Amino acid sequence: MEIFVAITIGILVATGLYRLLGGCKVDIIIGLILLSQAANLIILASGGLKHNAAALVGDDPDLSSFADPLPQALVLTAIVIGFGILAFLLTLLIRSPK
Amino acid sequence: MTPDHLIVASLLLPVVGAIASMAMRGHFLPALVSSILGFASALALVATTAGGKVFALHVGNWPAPYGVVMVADGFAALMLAVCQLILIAAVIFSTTTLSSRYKRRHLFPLLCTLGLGANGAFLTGDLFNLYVWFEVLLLSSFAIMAMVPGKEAREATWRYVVINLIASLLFLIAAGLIYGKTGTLNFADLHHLFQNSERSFLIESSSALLFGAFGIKAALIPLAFWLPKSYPQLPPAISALFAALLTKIGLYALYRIFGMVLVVQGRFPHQNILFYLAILTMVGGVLGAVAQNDMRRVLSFHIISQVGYMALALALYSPLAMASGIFYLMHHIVVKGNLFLVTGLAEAHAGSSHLREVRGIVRSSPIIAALFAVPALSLAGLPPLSGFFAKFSLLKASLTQHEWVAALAIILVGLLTIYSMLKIWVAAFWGEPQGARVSPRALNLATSAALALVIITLGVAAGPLFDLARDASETLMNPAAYLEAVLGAPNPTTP
Repeated sequence: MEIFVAITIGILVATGLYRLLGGCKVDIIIGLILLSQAANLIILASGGLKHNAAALVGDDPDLSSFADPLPQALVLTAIVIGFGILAFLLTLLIRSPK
Repeated sequence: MTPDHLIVASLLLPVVGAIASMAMRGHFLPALVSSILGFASALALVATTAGGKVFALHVGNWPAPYGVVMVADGFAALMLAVCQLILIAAVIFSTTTLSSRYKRRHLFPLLCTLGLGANGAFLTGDLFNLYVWFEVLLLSSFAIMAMVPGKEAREATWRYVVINLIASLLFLIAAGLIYGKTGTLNFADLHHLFQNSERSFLIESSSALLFGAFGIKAALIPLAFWLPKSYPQLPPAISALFAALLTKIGLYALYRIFGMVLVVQGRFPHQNILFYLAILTMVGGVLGAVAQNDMRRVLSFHIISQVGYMALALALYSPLAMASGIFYLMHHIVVKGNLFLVTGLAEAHAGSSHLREVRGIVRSSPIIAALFAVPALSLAGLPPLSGFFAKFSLLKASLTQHEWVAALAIILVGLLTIYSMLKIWVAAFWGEPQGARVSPRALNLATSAALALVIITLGVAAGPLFDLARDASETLMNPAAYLEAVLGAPNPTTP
């Protein structure tokens, strides 16, 4: 499971960097979006990935059957911030001179 | 008021100021009141944290490594105080110098949230929270920058936004990787873990990402070229605030993370790289300043050069060097902010900031000349002003560590700084005044004079203030008190 996520992150970073260096403003925005998705995936994967495990639901005393809740909370925050910044960037793009 | 109240006040006051200012259609008064009250509470925090005391506020009473924690130590309190001081000056200058175009567009609520982001970044005790506070700060600064009219300013905003977003992404990735490796993001817990772990070398790669992120924000030289392209486009009241605050918050993060969290046995990762980059930044910045012919651009390059000094203090990492670095930060924020404000006054007075077009300000307005001379001489490092003691203690630290290259760079860059200041002085202040002159407003002169007075006080009363900086650096380098305040028991056990 981790290996697929790692490869996905690699592809996202590579394409993101390629678009970022493209020079045109739309390219830069797309590059930044791809890179921020890669960052989100890194955070999610950093807690260790588990198949079919919820975060601390139920009263199972065995903690290893739960997914780590913290990366999920972090990634939620990061997604919200990334969304706000994307909205700002698009506004800036629309208002910038052609 | 307990320290907990003061910590909450530093975060709550800007929020209340921003909301009240928005409710009053962007009126300046709530921003001014909240920044003055914030300054008062920051001073109270400085007084309570003096002597190396550390206070931690566990938000929602969640125990330390799990919940969000806000920590006030000497370093954070000192930074809070100087930043709030500059915020007050920037609010006053914004009300008097900016056109109604800015004031209509939520400038003052945004100044409040900028202060909120800065205060949060100083007080947070958690890596991911630091990222969030950086974003609060950055989004406010993006929005303020986007208000500046003109094609060049738009391009500058775009450049500034993109480079800062890349820095934020590096920071976010580093935070994720560090959590994956250690299972915690709390500063105190991380430090505790690295102290007692054989695997601290695992952190080198993630700390390289952090180094890049903070290096961009602090404007260390291979990562600094966004700064002189964006800051000169801003109006003086705003550029003073940005110049004083934004790069210094990057430096604060470098000091906090590399100077405290990642330290193992008196060294931190990439210390050698930081040392050489700091010297490169000092020399490169001042050479850039010497080559410019516009007051705003000269001052923008000076920021880079001065950032090099403060990064050098961190790279030397001796008690004296760290204390002088913290003193330098305090001195630099006030001096740089004031210098940009006075340059704004001179520019409004003479009609241009270009050195070929301005002549004879000494004749037409001696008071502006005097107000410019104080921060300029202090930046260049002449006694008895604050810059002298900052540079002298840094020089002494590098000499006692036998770092001759650093000592030579400190002296040479100081001389070149004086040269570039003389260049401004000779070109813009001497000679016969030409063209129409606008007399400056008394309130602006008084604000700038108050800051000049702070600079002189920092110089004359350098002893007690240096003691405060030394206490702060001791807490930073030997964070036993910090760990105890955050984690509770001296030796926390895993549950």
